[in-house]
Amino acid sequence: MIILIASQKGGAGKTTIATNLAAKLAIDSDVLLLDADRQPSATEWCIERKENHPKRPRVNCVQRYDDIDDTLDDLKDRYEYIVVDTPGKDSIEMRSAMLVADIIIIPVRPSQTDLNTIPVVSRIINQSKKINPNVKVFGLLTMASTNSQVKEIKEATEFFLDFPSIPLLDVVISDRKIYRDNMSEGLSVVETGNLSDSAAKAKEEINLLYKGIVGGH
Amino acid sequence: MAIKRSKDVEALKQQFINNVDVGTSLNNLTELSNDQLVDQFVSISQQAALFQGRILSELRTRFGNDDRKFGEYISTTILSDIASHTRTRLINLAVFFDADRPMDGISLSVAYEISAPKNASKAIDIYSKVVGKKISVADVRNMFKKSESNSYSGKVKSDAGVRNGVKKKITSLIVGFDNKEKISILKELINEIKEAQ
Repeated sequence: MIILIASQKGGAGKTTIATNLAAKLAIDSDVLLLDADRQPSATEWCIERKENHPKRPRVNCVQRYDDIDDTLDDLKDRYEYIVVDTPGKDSIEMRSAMLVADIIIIPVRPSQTDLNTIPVVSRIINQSKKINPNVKVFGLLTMASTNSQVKEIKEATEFFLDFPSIPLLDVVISDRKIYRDNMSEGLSVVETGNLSDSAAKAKEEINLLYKGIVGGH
Repeated sequence: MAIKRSKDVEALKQQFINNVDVGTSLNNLTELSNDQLVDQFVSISQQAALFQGRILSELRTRFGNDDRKFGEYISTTILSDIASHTRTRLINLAVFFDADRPMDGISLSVAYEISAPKNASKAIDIYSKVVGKKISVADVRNMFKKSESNSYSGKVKSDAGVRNGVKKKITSLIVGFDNKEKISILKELINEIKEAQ
């Protein structure tokens, strides 16, 4: 199964989602993380993981750029899951991956400037469905403030009602330091030894994301 | 999911990928075919109009959607160079097409026609018939006219509401003429109806 993490704007937490999801999937599946972003944060996460946590569930990593649909087509039979991290903009990598993806996750911050990208993303997805009609697409609210987030989440959720081609996942990923800390160590929040309340909530968010994507597929 | 790559699908795929990121593609104009250059031009025009409409819409919202206050503010800015009716068209365009409606195969002039408030009641229906089909603006106007005339068929012609609707429609069609010309046009129409009896 090819899971594409894509958005038209940087800073939505694509790589955080991609790495945490890949590590969660790797607990009981064979996983490849394909980094198609020339700012290779996902690859750096992989290197950290390989060097510092060699006994953790293995997440295989490769970097590929430009037109990656043939590569994904070729690799999909070798792994149970391929998680694809793409640049934070409309790109050849994003579009070519859309053509072969089984699931597309669109992370978006619940802010006006980020939500303004959704009409364009929606159009691109509708175009890609002419070639890949069976792809499932989900919006994912990310980087939500842990303070007073109820109003902005509600407004963002209402915004998405105008875009039925991108149903929102139930889970909201919050902006938590624990995500950043684990990123730099090559870990996922589901693997952290941190026992804080924030870590527990982050773990729950990723577990819910996993269930929302894999459980519902 | 395996995709069978017929030549058509392959061409569609390449077209989809090549439409990426206008900024990037503009760096490679010499590598594009004539058709691709035309497509780029259309795409940029559509995006520019949509973004302009969104910006104006956001501005108007900040004045409580009060057209007078909005207009007064605009008159103090460089945007006063844009005619009032052009600003309105852009806002209408953004409102209609931002609602998850692609502009594939729709020229800007057709898009303006579809998103015009006067066509609101039939806009979604006509949009679904023209999207992706590169239909001319003249044909689209005819579709609206036909749709409008169909909406009167079968109704009680003496009904005051229907009659007022027809009068409003006629008035809107001749609004750009002076009174003398309006009367002249209506007289011609009356004569044609009489002759047809």
